[in-house]
Amino acid sequence: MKKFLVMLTIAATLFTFGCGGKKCVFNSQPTPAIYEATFVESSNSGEVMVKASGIGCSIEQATEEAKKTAVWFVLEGGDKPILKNQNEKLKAAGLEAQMYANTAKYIRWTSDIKSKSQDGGKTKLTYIFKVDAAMLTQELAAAEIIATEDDLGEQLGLPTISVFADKGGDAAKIAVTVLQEYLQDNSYEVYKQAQNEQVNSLVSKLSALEGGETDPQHDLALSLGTDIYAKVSMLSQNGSVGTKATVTIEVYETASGKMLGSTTGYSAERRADHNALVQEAVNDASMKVLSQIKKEWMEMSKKGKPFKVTVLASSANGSAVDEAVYGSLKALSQRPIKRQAGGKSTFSYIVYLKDVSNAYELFQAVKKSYNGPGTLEKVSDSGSFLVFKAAGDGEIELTIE
Amino acid sequence: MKKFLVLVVSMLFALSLFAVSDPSLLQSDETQKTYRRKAVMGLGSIGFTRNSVDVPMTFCHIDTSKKAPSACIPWAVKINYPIGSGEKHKAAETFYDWTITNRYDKIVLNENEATITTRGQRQSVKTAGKIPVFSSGTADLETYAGNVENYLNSDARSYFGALLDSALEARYSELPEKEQETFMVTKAKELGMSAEFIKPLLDSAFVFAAHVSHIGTSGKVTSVTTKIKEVRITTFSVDINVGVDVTFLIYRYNPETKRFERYKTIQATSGLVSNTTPSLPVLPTRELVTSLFNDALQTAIKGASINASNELKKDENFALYAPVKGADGSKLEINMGVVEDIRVDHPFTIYEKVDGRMKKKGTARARNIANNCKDDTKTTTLQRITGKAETADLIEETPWSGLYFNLGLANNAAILSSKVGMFAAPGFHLGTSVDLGYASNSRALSEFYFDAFLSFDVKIEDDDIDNHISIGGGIGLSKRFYTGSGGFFFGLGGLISYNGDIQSDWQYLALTPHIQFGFTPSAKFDFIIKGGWNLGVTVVENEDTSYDQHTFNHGLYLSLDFNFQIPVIGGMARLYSKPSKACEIKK
Repeated sequence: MKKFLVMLTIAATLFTFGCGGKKCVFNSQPTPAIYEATFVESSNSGEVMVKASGIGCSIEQATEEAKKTAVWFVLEGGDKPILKNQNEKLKAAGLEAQMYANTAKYIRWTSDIKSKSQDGGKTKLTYIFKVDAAMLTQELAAAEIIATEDDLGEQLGLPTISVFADKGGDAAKIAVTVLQEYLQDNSYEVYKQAQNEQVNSLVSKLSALEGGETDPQHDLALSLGTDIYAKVSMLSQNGSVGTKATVTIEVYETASGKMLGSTTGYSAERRADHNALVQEAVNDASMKVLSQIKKEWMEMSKKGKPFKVTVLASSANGSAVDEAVYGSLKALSQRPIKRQAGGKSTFSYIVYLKDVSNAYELFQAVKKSYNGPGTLEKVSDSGSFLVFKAAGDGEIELTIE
Repeated sequence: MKKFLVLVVSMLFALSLFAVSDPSLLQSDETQKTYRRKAVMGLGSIGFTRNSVDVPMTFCHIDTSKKAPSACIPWAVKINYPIGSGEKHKAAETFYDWTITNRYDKIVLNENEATITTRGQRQSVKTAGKIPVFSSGTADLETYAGNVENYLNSDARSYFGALLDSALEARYSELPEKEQETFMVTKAKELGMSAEFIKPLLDSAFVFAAHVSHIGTSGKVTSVTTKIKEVRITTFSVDINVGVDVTFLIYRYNPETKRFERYKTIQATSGLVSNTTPSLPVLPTRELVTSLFNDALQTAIKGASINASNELKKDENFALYAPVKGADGSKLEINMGVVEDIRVDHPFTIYEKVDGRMKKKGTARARNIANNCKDDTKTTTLQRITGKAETADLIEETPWSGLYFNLGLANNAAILSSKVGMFAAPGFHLGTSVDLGYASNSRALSEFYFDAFLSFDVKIEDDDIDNHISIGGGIGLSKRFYTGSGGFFFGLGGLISYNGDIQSDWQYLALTPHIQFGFTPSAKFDFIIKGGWNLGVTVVENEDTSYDQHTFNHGLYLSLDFNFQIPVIGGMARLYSKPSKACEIKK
């Protein structure tokens, strides 16, 4: 009897596990079951196209999961998600769960199914979704989850930028216009070079004084007084069925002339008007440029904004003025001061300062702590370029030595 | 203000992500691939090896008053039939009707303009001079292929390229998958189409050419002498058998080199097509026999064209693929229809990717074909026959002729009034079975099968040790109803058959209503069990003795049939209606 009972138990167990079949278990968590997603394109300023997959026990479940994955990608996935650090992700956990539970609110368009497969007994689907990134951002900002951006924006404002054509003739000029429009659309202050505008004489003389090969665009940016300047070059190549335009954009810090980034953008190979190709290539590069500028600008808020300071003095007391101004700047900056070429009466410095938003504020701070000969008088301040003189005995003249 | 800044800065961050545009991301993967239209040009004429055909003839004489087999002797002369230009033109029309169907954008080079007809538009390019017309001439295959290549790469290519260019936008706008909502498509509208889209469109241009490389023929003159009331009457009839082999040459336009390159060569064959004159008291005239020959030749060309068209569907470039749009029980919807030249009852295979590999999941057949000429959202309804299917499974067209070779084992019993007891009549039959729905492309005839067969059986009498070897033949019609997902069907049908024993003791004509129970594991094979009852219509026992229907009561009919799909359709080609021209744009 005992043996019979044992056998019966074994048989029942085998039946339960052997014939019961594999039951599909649906993801009951608010977060997506899988995290397979790829960025496709930004459809417009507030919407993002994402290719995302979801897995479930039915078509409906897998579709809903794919939507969750798309929302997750915009929030946390990709190279630069809206939630950038662990702290923000932790703070957003509750709100994210609500977002995943209500994906319809953020998804503007759903494609046909792009892929379907059975993986481990579950249905896996892939779609392309248009996700309202602006709404997600707005809600996270309203919940003060991404507040750090707020502070940065208020502290620094956005940099002023000038854009110049470098190589590529007329196409490069069109590219400059497109890039300027793009930057303006993104709330940057763009300083445009007026037609036939020349580098002002002070800047020319200073450049000559500093020696070496001068960059005319750098001098123009200094003349315009922008924080950052960009040089645009264009190249067109004929392919098998059309023309492809390539744009290279180099971005520099105006004060120091340091390169902040270099980006290349491409148009598709198209049979189209050349201007349209230029526009497409610049559009492609613009986003990358914007990303670089933003990154560097944020970095500056931490390490200090660069200023180019030029001091004019008489040759009689030049060295004393240099010493005193250097001392004042040293007191203001926590980072080393870079001395550029100087003579007996003209001195230039690159200085990185935190909590100083423009050249005029810098002049006031230097003037306040200055203890050298004569009194300081501002000659010019524009953007991050400051020129002042130490007025006293002796004639001050910018001389190239 | 604070909130505004938050938004501005945050948006800049969010957007700075979105720099890369890769059009390939928009495309579906292999699990969702959809047929893309190809542009195809036919050359207007097809090549023939010869301008005439010699038909070897046989003469047979049958004397019905003598119980002797017919005697046949070969004739010393061969009859020569010319293949006129009219017949060649007709053959070309038939070939291109069957091979360049609605699923392709059609390119035609006219005298002073080149035209391409896409799904919904017609584009023309006016040419400065006269476009040379391709002349097939009479040549062997190699010479013909050389002529075609020479024509395509000298006379036609400039017009061809210009035409493809001019039609790019129209063809692009008709692509099945282009994600209208995407920024990339908006860009295509604003900036012009990118190489990503242009290349596949230019790469998908083909030229079809055909060469009739072999025409097999034979002929038979039969004279039959019958004695009626002491009067001997002789009649004559002529049979002509024709079979053709067609070499189907496919060229692809290479937009890089702007040259045409041989893409594929398909050997198509018609099978045997027979044609017979009525029995006449005199020998049929030459005109009548020529007309008989021409009809057989054109039917053979049609058969070979249908075969070529099906062979073409084995190539991934020309076969239909589509994801299932919706599934409800055994009913499936796909976004294709008349435009893709789907015929009623056309079989499809259902696939799904399982753990990384595409696996066959089931089969289905087209039932209600959508007229999607103008509205591409209209869907064709398929009936799932075997397996499972759900939304987004992939379906693939199965090349199919709709014609089966039939082999059956049967008991074909009958009771004759002069006999007692019931015949047991084991035997077998051979024949063909054609899906009339597919052949005629008619929804009303969906799953109606027309059978033609020859039977051989041994009639065993209950009380007679003499068994009778019986031969016969007949035709039948049946309708199938598929049910469930196992490929099972039941059917209702009827046969009309003639049976006679070889000693000519008796003959009878029977009607056999029957029911069927069958199994279709794939479009290539059927297994059917038939059960029915033979009802005698006319019975003749010995000569001149007839019995009315009361004397021939009934007999059990049981059959076990195996159907094997055959790609070569022979004379059955006559039953096939042309591909739909519902979407043809009138000039």
